[in-house]
Amino acid sequence: MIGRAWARFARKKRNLFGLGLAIALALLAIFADFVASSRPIVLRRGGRLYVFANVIDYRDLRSFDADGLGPGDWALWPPCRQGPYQIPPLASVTGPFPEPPSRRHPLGTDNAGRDTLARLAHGARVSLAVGVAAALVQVMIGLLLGVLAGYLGGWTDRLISRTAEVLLSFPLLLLLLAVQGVLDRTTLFSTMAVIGLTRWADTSRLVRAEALRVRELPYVEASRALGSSGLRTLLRHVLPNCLSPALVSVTFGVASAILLESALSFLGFGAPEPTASWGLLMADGFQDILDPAARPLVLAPGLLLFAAVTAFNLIGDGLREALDPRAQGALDPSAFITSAQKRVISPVPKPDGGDPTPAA
Amino acid sequence: MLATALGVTLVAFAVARAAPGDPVALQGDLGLRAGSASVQQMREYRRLMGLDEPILAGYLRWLWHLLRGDLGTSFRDGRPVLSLLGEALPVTLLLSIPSLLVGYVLALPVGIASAARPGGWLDRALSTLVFLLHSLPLQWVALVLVVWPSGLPIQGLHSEGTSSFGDLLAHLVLPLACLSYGSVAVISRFLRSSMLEEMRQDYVRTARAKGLSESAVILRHALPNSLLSLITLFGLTFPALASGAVIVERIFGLPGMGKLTFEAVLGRDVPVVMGAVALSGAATALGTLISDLLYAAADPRISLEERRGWR
Repeated sequence: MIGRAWARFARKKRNLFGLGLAIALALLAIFADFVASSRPIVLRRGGRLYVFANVIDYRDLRSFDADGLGPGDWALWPPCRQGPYQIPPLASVTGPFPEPPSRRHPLGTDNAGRDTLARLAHGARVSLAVGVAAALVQVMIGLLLGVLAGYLGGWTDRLISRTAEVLLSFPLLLLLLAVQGVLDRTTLFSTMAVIGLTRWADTSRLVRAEALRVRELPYVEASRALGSSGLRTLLRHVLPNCLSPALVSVTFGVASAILLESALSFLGFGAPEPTASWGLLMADGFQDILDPAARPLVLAPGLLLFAAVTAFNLIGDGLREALDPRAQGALDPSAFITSAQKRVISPVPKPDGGDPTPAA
Repeated sequence: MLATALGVTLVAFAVARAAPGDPVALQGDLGLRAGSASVQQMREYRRLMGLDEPILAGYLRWLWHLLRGDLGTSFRDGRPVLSLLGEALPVTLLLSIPSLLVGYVLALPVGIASAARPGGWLDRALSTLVFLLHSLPLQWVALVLVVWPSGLPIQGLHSEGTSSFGDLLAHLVLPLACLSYGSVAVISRFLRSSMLEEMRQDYVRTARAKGLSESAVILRHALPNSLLSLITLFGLTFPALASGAVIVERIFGLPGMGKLTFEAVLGRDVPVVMGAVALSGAATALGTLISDLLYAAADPRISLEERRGWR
């Protein structure tokens, strides 16, 4: 099953491109300290060897000065010798911030003198972590409630479906803004949580449709006939067979959570200062929008954001096609376009005698 | 519909109620400093929100006031929330309705061209383009348009001292571009899949069999039937547009719903936040209802009964 799905997935180059892009961004996120750090990866100083000084906090290096290396000392630096939170000492400040690109700062600095390239690299961490975590929250709630609604039907279904419908009626960004606004202060955790807690409705809708289909299948009847309890049937037979829409939805969910996090951070209600988040970087750039020196700060985060969203949308599209033989490929975003739109494809019974697809 | 509207107000109330600490006390601190919220206003707010009552009673009281059009007064300047919303809504409508129209006008040729030869080079090129459009972060597009030396105004609705129609139009170009590209992606893809669905139907085969040219089959037979389903999209693209308005109005400095909400959240102006959230939710519910009614009127195969529920 997995092998076949992979074969179907790998058949299209754009799916592999999306996967490759996502892996590259994930590596950037994981190894951000090896791309940009204010401390060398390996340092030999005064006869002592410090390994991975960029990730391990050596006590002797707390007041480390990059220019203060004596004879016989050497250092292996990451490509960018700036940390994401590193503010230049006042004495060394020469020009106004934000600084235009220079040898020291390939993409310039923000208005506090922090290196843009370093903040971009570390921003991958925030974006992907919040995106993946929010999507996981979304899919866990959505899967559970969707299966319950589809399998049990009746008032459970009504309650869950109504709640989902209410959540889908709100302009999402407005709702998230209001929720984040009433919190005392927003954190990365709260950003992740509110995105997941409001977006589950999308997953539950897809899962519910699948559960409605699955519960009529012979093997569910067989399981019941063999005397398994409702709970056992639900967990062992219905739930596992509803996983593919959940998997597809989690991938699209990552893409939209990344977008939402950046939008919230851009508005100042997502990642708190001074987190290196792509949305916050854009907000910093927006403050000096007319200053040409701020151009990289305004434009570069968006490119990475675009790459990340494209990658996860491509994977989601490929997965949908690979997991569901009935799906028509050709980048049909009727599923990746979020929210209630799918409701539109109404359950007109198909003339060819097929099942009236329940708002799938 | 009614249940959805009730749910929308419940969420708006819950958000305000979930605020940690007493929003009134908090506002008191801020208010004293800013010298804006008077004691009388806060008493008014407590009464409106039913803050001295249990949650359910408080909700019912708030709902009762809401139904009578009493949304309270803003903490910031003491003006009625309703009139603040009334000033901001037209600006947002001025953006969202034309952007929907632009979206439809641009999406039609794209969708038709894609569906005419599914899998052909044009379809693949357009699909890729639309897919990329869909993945573009809105705030980035807006910032690029601001930085881009286009010569078009990038702030507000009017230039200093002028109020001509041409001036207003020039100010709307960039915000409209930002809000439209997403709708183009959604609508054209939707049209494509609904046209492909129609092309498989028997009546299309009949039209082909009687010797009609392919363009006549597509434009006169498949297209009108696919357009029906586009009606429903009208109500459903609203949430996306309202979300987009928050960002676009912030970047281009337009005094619409998005800016109002953003500033209210920033200043913890709870009555305004609640009013805006409730209004936007209700507007979506209303939009969905209207497009459902239109759809039922346009397509006799659809019964309202069937479409009203989740199913």
